[in-house]
Amino acid sequence: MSELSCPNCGAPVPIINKASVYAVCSSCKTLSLKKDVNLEKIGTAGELADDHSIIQLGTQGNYNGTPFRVIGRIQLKFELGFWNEWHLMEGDGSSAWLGEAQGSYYYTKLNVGIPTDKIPTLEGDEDPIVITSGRRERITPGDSFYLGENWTLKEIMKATCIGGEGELPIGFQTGYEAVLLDLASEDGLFGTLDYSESPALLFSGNFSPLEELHLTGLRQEEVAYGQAQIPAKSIECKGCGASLNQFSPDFSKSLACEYCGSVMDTESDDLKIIAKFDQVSKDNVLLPLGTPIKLPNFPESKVIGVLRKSTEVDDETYTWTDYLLRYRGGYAWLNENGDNWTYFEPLPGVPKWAPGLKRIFQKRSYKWFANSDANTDFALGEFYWKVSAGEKAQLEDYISPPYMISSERTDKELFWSKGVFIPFDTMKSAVPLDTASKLRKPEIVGVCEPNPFKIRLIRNLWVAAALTAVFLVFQVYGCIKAKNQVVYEGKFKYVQTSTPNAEIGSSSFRDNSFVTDVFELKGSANENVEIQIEAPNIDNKYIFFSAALINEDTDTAYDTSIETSYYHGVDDGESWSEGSRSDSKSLAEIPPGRYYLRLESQSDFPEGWGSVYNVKIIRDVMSPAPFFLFSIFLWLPLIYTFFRSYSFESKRV
Amino acid sequence: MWNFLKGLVYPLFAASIGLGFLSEYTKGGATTDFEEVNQVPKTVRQNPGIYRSHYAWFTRNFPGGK
Repeated sequence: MSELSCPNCGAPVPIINKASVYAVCSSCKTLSLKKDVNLEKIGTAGELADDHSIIQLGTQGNYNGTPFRVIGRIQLKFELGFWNEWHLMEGDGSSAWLGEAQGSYYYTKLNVGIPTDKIPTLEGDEDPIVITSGRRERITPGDSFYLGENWTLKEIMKATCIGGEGELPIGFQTGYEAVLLDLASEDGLFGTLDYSESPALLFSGNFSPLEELHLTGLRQEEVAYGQAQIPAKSIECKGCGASLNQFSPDFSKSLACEYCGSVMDTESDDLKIIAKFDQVSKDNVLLPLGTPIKLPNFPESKVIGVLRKSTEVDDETYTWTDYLLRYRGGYAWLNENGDNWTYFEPLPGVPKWAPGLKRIFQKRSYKWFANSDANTDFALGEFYWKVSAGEKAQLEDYISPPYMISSERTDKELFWSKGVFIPFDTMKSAVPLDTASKLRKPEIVGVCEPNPFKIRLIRNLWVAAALTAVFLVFQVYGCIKAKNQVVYEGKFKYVQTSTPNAEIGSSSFRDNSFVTDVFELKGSANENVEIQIEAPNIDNKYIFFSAALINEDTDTAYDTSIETSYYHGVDDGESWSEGSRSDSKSLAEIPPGRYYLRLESQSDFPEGWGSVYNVKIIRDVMSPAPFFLFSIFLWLPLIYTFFRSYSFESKRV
Repeated sequence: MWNFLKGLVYPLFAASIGLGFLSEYTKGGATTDFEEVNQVPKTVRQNPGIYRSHYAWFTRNFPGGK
């Protein structure tokens, strides 16, 4: 480390990084340019605003294995409040930047890999037009362009430089204004196109949660990592004089009075009113300001702001409430819609598009659910931006229960968040008892409420598919193993001797029963026997057989019936046919032994007429019927579950 | 608890279907219903009309197709 003298006041100006070009004197705020071993005054850095940042010069950290030290800062002011760009010196002496805004941190480096002619130029700063590849386009959040990565524009902002401190690789002028375009890639990268220079500078890197920075040497150690928060501040409303609590003075930028709807800028010492909501109602605000929230798997937080929003669909107004939660190192939202609760966290990056109106984020596919225009009806409490009455945004929701991702787009910003459905019982146990007693059990299906029927349907599909596969394996094995041994074959002729259709055994029925020769059934007692009868010439007639397979030695009969019937014709010019000229019956578990078959028949042939038929008896046959029959039984209930699941999906609100 | 029990209905049903299939499978995959009758008269071979199968009473009286 070298130490140079301030050209203005002579105070020592330490230079930690040899590569630093600019330095700000901590005594007189003189901005100097380093020239060899001297400093040359080039301007004065303005007074830095106290933005309650926990980082300071000298703070050290480690990001993804790279150690760094904070050696400088540029402070900027933009629509949402203050924003710091901390200049970092990494272990190898190279430069990096840690952006700090609204409790979020972005670790970036200057991207020098993009040819300068590819960097888009900009015209105008209120409604910027980007000129890229010879085309002039008015840009809005959500637009995408390629700069080494596929970037999506998340935010357009105009920043004013407040001042700086420490040593910096770039010069600045207090009060200079620059347009900045915040970008995000589908892979979660973060980028900024900084138009304070021409051509613009592209800084790219990652969103980094505070705990992943492993910071030490913080300005307010007591507020970091599990220690006490900055205490709440009492504020008198400039609109109605009511006494209000500011729960998170280190974070919030505006405070909306819960009594009169006045919104005050908490960054200005005089708390000037910046907006006013016409109507404020605490009806249906189920979580009062200051309510502690202890949801499992999420950090303990406190409700610091409430927004009531609405949208109109087909002349009907739908309202919901968003609760802003603040926890150490970040913030989240709890959304209440029809008594259903969803916990939302800011989403780094922009989810990828997938075919079929789907988005993919962290390898999970989300289906498009709804587009709507949201109107902010009123606000209570404090917020990390300057809330204004009548704020409008376009919402786009994608669901993959219990998760959903939502984008909120305004003219200046595209904000993505990821939500997870909170079951009613979990929500009740996450808040104090008196608050829990006021929560109502939802009567409608939540947007990303898990569908119990779908979960069941998927599981049942797996069960059915697995069992069907097992059945198939058994069936194939059974077919291979089956002997299919023909033990008897005979050809017979049926001739009608009774009145047609006379019932067997009736007085008009003439007995035509007969028995076959004896045949032997071998094998084991659990093998089956199949009796097949085929009447190849039967035409618009039937023959019904009453059959008995009789064991000659034990005098045990196995009775069954077999029918051959085949009818066909033409009705109204349409030909039809039904029945079959053959039929078979399979008798299970027939013990081995000597058997004969007794047949008795009945038909609708006229007297003296008839037909030939063949009889075949086969030992140990594997029939395909059980496989198909049991499989059908297995899959039938799934139709019911499918309809229940479909019905649940159609009720999502 | 109730949801958990409802979730068990299909697996139990599937298990019973599986057992039914296995039961049929061990019998050679036969699903035909038949009657087993013991002590059939020994004279059936000489006089087939002496024995009347149980299925003889399930007579067919088909008036014609369609």
